[in-house]
Amino acid sequence: MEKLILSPEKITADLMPQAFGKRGMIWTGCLLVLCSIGLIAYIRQVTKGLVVTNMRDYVSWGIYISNFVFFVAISLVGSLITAVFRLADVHWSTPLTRIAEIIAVSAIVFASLIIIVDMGRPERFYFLLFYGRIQSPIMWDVIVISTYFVISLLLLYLPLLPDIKILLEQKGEGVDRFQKLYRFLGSFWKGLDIQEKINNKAVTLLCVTIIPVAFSIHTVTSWLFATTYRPGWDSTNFGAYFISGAFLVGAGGVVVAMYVFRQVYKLEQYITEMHFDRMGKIVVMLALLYLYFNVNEYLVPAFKMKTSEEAHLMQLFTGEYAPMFWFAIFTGMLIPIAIMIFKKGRKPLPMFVAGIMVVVGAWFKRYLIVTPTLLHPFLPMHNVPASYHHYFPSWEEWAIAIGSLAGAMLVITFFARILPIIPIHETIIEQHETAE
Amino acid sequence: MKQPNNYKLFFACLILLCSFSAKAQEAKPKLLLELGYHLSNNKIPFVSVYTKSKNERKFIPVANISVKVYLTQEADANLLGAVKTNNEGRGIVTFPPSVQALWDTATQFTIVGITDASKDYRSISIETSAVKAKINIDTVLVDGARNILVTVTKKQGKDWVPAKDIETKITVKRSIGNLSVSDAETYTTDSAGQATVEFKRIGIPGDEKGNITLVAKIEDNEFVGNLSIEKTVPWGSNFINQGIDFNRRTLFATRDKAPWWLLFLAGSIFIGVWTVIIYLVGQIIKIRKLDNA
Repeated sequence: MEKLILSPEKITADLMPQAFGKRGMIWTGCLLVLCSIGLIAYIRQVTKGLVVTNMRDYVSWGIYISNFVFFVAISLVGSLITAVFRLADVHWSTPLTRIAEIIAVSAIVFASLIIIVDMGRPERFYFLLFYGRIQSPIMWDVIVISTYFVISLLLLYLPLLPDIKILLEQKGEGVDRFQKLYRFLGSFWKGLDIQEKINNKAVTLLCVTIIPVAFSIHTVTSWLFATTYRPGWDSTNFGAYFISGAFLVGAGGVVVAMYVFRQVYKLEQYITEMHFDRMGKIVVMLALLYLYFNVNEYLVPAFKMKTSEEAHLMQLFTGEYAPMFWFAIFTGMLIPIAIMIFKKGRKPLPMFVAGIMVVVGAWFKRYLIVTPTLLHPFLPMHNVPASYHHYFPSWEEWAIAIGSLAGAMLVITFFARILPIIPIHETIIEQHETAE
Repeated sequence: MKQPNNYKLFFACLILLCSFSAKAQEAKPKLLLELGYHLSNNKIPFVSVYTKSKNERKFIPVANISVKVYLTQEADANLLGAVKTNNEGRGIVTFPPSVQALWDTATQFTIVGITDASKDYRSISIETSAVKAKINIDTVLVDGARNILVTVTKKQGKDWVPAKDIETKITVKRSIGNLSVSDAETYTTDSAGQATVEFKRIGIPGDEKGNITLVAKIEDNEFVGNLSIEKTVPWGSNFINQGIDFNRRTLFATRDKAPWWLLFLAGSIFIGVWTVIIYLVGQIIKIRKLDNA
C-alpha cells in the first residue's frame, strides 16, 4: 500500500497540543479526585504513623513496594522505544518515542515518591541521603533512580527542542497559554545546522548512556530482593527476570497509551495499524521471554521443592495466592500472547485490550513477588497475633497506591496537554525523506 | 390499688439503679500489684515492683503507676521509696540508709506496697513477707573434680543458721542468659543449708584469660525471696579472637568502613555516568549560546 504523504502544515496542525474537551476535563477531574484521596490517606499516615497500614513485623514491604517495582518496570520503556530503536536505526517507532519518554518520566517520579511513602516518616529520606551505607542495595537504588530520572528528562527534552520552535511559531487555544513556558524551554533554538548537529550527537550519546542505566535501575531493584536470603527471592536469575518483565509491562503501557492518544487526538494517520502490528510482535516476543523466566523462577524450585520453599510455592500454586498467581500468569502473559500472535489480534482494539491485560497482570505479578515471600520466613512465626500471618492492605494503603497511579497518569495527561505527543519536527523530516 | 403498684415501680427503679451503679464500678479495670524482695551479692537489698491488669484472660503491664514501698508497715519513717512504673509496668526501689537501723535488727520482715489512686485505677496495697537470708558460693575439689558449694543461711535471733530445702539454680553466666553447670536445672539445700554440684561444663569458653562467672540464684522463693551471688573462676578455655570484628572494611560494616573495591566500583560508575550528564548539560548551554552568537 502506498504511503500517504502529508504536508508540513497539516502535520503541524494535526500534532499541535489541544485544549481539553469535556472528556479531558472529566478525566483530569477524576484523576485529581483520586490523587486528593491518596493525599488525605498519606496525611493520615504521616500524622498517625505506619500503624494505619496493615504492614507489620513480617510483611514490612506491602503494596507500596509492589507499586514501586511496577513504576520502575514501566519506566524502562523509555530506553526500549527511544534508545534501543534509535540506535538500531528503526524509524517506524518515531511517533511512539515521546509517548514512551513521557511514560518513563512520570513513572520514575512516582517510583521515587512511593519509596518516601513507604519509609513512613518522610525526613528519613534525608537520613538516607546523608547517612546511607553504600554497602546497601537500597542506597544503590536511590542513586540509580535519581540518575535515571535526570537522563530520562534529558531524553525527553533534547528531541523536543525543534518542536518548541514550531510551538512558538503557532497560535491557537492549544498553545497560547503556554508560550511563556515554551520560550523558557527553547526560545534559543533557531534550527541552525550546528544546533542540529550538537543536538543529534547529544541524543545519540544519551541513548548509549540510558541503556546501561535503565538496565541498572531494574537490576538493582531486583537485587533489593535477591540479596536477601528468603524463599522466592534467593535467585541468581532475578536481574534478568525483572528486566524482561519490565520491558513487557513498558511495551504494554505504550500500546495502551498509543490507542488512547490515537482515539482522543484523532492520530490515525500517524499511529497507524502498522505501528500496532509491529508493537504487537514486540509484545509477544517480550511476553514469551518473560514467560521463559517465569518458568525458570517457579518450575526449577518446584522441581526440587525444598522444605523452606515448599510453603511459599504451594501457597502460590494452590493456596491463598493461587487465584492471583494464575490470574497474573494468564492475564499478564498467556492471554495477551494468544491474542497478539494472530494478525487480527494486532489490530488497535484487540491490542488495546491485550495491553491493558499486560499492565494489570504485571501489577499483580509485582505484588506476588513482594508479599507472599515475606509471609514465609525461614524461622517459623511463633507467638504473634493471627493477623501477622496474613496481609491485606488497609484503605490508606489502597488510597495511596491508587493515588500514585492516578498521579502518574495525571503527569502523562499534563505532558500531553502541553507538548506534542508525537514529535512534529521528526515526522516532517521523515515525511520529506519518504517523498524524496 | 394504685399505691402498691407505685411502690413496686419505685423499688424496681432502685434495684435497676443499683445494678447499673455496680456494673459501672465493675467496668473500672482492676489493678494488680506484685512486690519482690531481692538481694544481689549480699549487698544492698532492693524491692521490685510490677503493676498489671487482666484483660481478656491476659495480663497487661500498666505503666505510670506511682507506688510507695514501706518496710514492716505504712509509716513515713519506714518508707523505702516511691517509684513510677515504666512502660513494662516495672520499677525498682533500693533500701535507703534511713532504714538501716530497722533492717539490721530484723529477722523476718514485711514489705508493704501502696499504689496511688489514678483516673483509671483505685489505690491498692499489698504485703509480702520473707526471712532475712544470705547466699554464698564457693569452690571445692572433690576427688580431683571441680565442685561448686552454695550455702544459704537465714537469720534467727542474732545468729545466722542454715536454711534447708531451698531450691537454687547454679549456672555459668553467658552473653544471653545463663547455662546450668551440670545436668539438673535446680539443686536443693540440705540440712546444713548447702548444695554441692560438680562442674561439668569443661572447656566452656571464657574471657581472654579463661575466666567464667558462676552464678547461684534463688528465684521467687516464698521464704527468702530472690537472692543471687556471683563468683569469677578461671575454669573456662581462653577466648581466641578469630578476627571477626566490625572494624574491618566489609559489606556488613558501618558506612565509613565500606570495602575499597566497592567504593572504587560504585564511585567510578557514578562519576562516569554523571560526567556524561554534565557534558550533555554543557551541550545544551552550548546550543543556547549559539543563538546569542
